[in-house]
Amino acid sequence: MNSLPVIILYEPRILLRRGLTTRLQDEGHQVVSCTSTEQLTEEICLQTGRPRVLLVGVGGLGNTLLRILRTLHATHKLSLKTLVYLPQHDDVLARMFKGAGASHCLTEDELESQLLSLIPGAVTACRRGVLLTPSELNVLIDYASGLQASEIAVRRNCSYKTVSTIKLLVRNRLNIETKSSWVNLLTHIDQLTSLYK
Amino acid sequence: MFTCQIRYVARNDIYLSGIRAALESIVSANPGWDCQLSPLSTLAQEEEHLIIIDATGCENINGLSPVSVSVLNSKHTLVMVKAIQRWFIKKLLQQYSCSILCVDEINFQMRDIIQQTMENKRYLSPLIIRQHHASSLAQPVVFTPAEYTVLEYLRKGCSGSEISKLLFRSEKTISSHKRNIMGKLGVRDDFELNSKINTSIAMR
Repeated sequence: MNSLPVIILYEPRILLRRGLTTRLQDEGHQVVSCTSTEQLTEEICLQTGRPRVLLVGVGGLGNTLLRILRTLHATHKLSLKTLVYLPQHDDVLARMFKGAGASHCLTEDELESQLLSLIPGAVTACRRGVLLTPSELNVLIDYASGLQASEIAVRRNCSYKTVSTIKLLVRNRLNIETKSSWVNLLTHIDQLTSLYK
Repeated sequence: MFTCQIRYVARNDIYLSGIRAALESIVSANPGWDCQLSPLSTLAQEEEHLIIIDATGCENINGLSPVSVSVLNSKHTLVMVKAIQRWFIKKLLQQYSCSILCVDEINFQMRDIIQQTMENKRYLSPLIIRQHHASSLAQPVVFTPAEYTVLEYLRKGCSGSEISKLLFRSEKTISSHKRNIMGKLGVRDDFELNSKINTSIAMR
């Protein structure tokens, strides 16, 4: 019983939170459900000695999405498995979450069939080359929050040329070839963050 | 002792167990109450008080089973949708009188849903109301046939020069169509245009 991982669930939407908690408890997992990002940080930092899995529902994050991206990125060195689920299938968004440090990316429809098989198992080390560097993540988050290259340059205290180089690196890393899929990525992030405004 | 008869058509077990957990907490809070949850069937049974249809993942009305479609005009029917199914939600709002619950709602009370549907009122969850409000405010935009064609390609994510090669028009012509579209939609840059094309339901 004790070998089952503890599941830290961050899902603001009440229906999915209740549903997932009941389903996982039926399987014998211990579920810690967080309602605020502060509580989430606390739970992640807690040392228990038992394997832990972080489960995050992207569709309900709203304006905490960018903060969660940073949380994911900060936890990739902890022995913590991170599972993320998106509202619909989206390759580029999935690559972005993997780049930010998520171990697996599912969609809400796949949760039922695949979640239980993904929870056990050791933490897979992130492949090199997939994970974004801290400055790449910074620039990506700045672009996603709607800033222009020149504004980011002032904010990050560097030249706009550096900003566009880093943007190019992000696009290479996330395998975004065309400008339209880059704009699409920003649009999708914008849609997710503005859902509850 | 009052027993609320609830029938469901499920697609996703997780939403169903969420509903079940919500009902259990109502039952434990109200001693005189009881709920019975069972699958919807065509056989004549006791009269149901609420029918829950899980429509997450349906593209259009045809994706639902015939039995579910036949009860869509009753206010006792609650359809569960995702916030991204904008087109489907618009159809439901215009053509049917069923209650709608968005599963992406941060918080909602199952009690309110049961109460409102029992009083024969239409229940719409806050996100649905907001979207309904936004779409009724939006002015219908009229495009010329050429602009429509360009718009379709833009939605697919083609760049200006790609469209010009596909349509055998000069890049300047395409650019001018695109500028006109942007003017009509009142957007300033590519990013705003893209989010307008992808979110606005008035243009399909």
